[in-house]
Amino acid sequence: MKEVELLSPAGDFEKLKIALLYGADAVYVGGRNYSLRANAKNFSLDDLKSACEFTHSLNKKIYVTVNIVFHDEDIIGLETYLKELDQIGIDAIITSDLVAIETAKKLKVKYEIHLSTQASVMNQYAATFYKELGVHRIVLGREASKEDIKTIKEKTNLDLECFIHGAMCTSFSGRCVLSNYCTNRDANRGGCAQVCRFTFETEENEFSMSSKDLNLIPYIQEMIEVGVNSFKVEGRMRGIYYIATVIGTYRKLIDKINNNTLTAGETNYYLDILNRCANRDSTPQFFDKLPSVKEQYFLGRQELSNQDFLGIVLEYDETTKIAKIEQRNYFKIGDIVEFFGPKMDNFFMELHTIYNEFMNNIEIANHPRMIVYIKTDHKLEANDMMQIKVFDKESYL
Amino acid sequence: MLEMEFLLVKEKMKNKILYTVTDINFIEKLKEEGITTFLFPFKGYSVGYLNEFSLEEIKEANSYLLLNRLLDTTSIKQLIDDLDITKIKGLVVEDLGIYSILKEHNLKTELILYQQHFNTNLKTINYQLNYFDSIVISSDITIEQIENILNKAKKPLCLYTFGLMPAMYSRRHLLTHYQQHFNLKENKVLNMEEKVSKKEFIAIENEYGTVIYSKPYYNAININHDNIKFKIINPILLSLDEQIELVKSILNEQELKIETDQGFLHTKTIYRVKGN
Repeated sequence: MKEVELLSPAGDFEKLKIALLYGADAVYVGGRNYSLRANAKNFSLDDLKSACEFTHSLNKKIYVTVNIVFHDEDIIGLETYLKELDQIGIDAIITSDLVAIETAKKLKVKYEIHLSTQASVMNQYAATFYKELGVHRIVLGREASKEDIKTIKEKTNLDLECFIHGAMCTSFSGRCVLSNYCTNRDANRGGCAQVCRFTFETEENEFSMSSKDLNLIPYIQEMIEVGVNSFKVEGRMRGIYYIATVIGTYRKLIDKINNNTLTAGETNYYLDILNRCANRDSTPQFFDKLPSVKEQYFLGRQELSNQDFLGIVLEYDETTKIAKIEQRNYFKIGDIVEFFGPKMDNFFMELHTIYNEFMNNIEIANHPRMIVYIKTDHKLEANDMMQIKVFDKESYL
Repeated sequence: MLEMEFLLVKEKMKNKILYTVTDINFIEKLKEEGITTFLFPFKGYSVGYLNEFSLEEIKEANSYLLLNRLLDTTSIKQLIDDLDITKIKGLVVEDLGIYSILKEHNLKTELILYQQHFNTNLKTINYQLNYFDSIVISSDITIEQIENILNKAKKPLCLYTFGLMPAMYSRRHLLTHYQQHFNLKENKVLNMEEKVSKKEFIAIENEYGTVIYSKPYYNAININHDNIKFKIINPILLSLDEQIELVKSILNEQELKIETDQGFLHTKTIYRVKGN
């Protein structure tokens, strides 16, 4: 089986670290400027330098989004920024605007140029256009079908990156300015207000037209076979629990495909984990067919945040067998919890004792980010996570 | 003397108008009013229009085809069979792949790039002009930005100057899905209003996807510049009488009689919310 890349979003340094620890081969991040997530925390140049050093120390790669659609005023500083990224030593920029592509080429930067999904490439001729411009990799439009991907690979032999998981635009990427019209926030310069999730009124009804999320778990093997090189997860605004769960799940899945050990039961288990994690349904969308009425939400949907994430392990003392945990959601004595992490098999346990920071017994952990201690014979490591027990893998096998 | 000048200006204006055809039966009347160059949404390759036209239906010498779809692998290969460049003056296209496929087949025709929400800066436009004969400047930028681009672009450019403004293009059948979900009668056109902003839109769907247009009609017809190649007029959903009235007003430089707005010509968009 071919080596493929698992590419994770990283909205800040903590998320980057989690993504890489949980199995991403590469991460993509946004700088403070020129990134389509203008309202995310994003990375300063110093942050980028540290992120780059950390990522490369693990022999992994880091890509930086320069993916806005530039207005003339935005170009000021672009050349300097692209040079600075070169000095920092990033591995690629992700961009779609010709001004960024041509400026990077003019500067003879060492990093690669990856074409953003904003370009919505779905055919080999558009791919050829960009290949001749000097683009090294194309992030295909999410609307590309299996047949489109296969043909583009065969005809261009370009490095191909496909989104496999996460939120989707209802429109073709970049082809929507509803946000500009309804909120004056420029969708193509990082200000998208996700108006497709707003309520619209017609003569008959109220409705929204947002898409369910993308989830290509059932098709990863076929995607590898047709030549996809990089599997990309959406979500630079998502938290560490989401990143750990999604990246950790896809890591296991891809490794099992590579080892030829993936079972149908495990695939269903992974699907259930991912669907619950985002609190949104997810479907394969365009890979195997055109989306139907079932791939959209229409109205009355509240976006509730997932409360399964109970805490993150900060330390584990092998002598006392006590884990130091930072709380993230309410939990109490008697809860059945599940620990998961990048280097361990998940395990369940009932919480019999919880200690506060003064090592006094407590019944509940109900303060955000409070430090608690839990005794467990299973060895844990920093950055392992504790969640409420929901799915039991054994029941899927 | 003044009358002569007016006639010259009117003649010049006529030649700069690229008029989108909504009904083949309107063409003769529009020609009588002075329209000389037509843009036909090309059947199988356009979205957001109620009528599309095959090459067999197009009899006008001064015709351009509009191909505003993003094309998948099958469709772009089919294009070579469906296209006869001897019958038209040029193509107005969204998908950059059309440049490459025409090159591969050694087909030469005038090629205008029209990506509604891209081509928002001078440098990008000048780079694109290495491949395309002209570019339609995005309507998502201000009048000052448009004028700066027109002043410095290395070839004449096109401008969308009248019509409903495309605000979203989706491959999904959004109206069919909406009607299926609520068990409503099939309709390929839907008026809708965003509940908070009260902004009105109209959506049109065909086999290849859905386009949502902002209402009312956009009006940038008064932008004049020597570096304009074409002013695109898109009278979508207007009746013949309304279109004739529109053409008369435009060519006689009179105020339009239908409700219009000026989009982002005088409104700069933002992208960072407070605190970021």
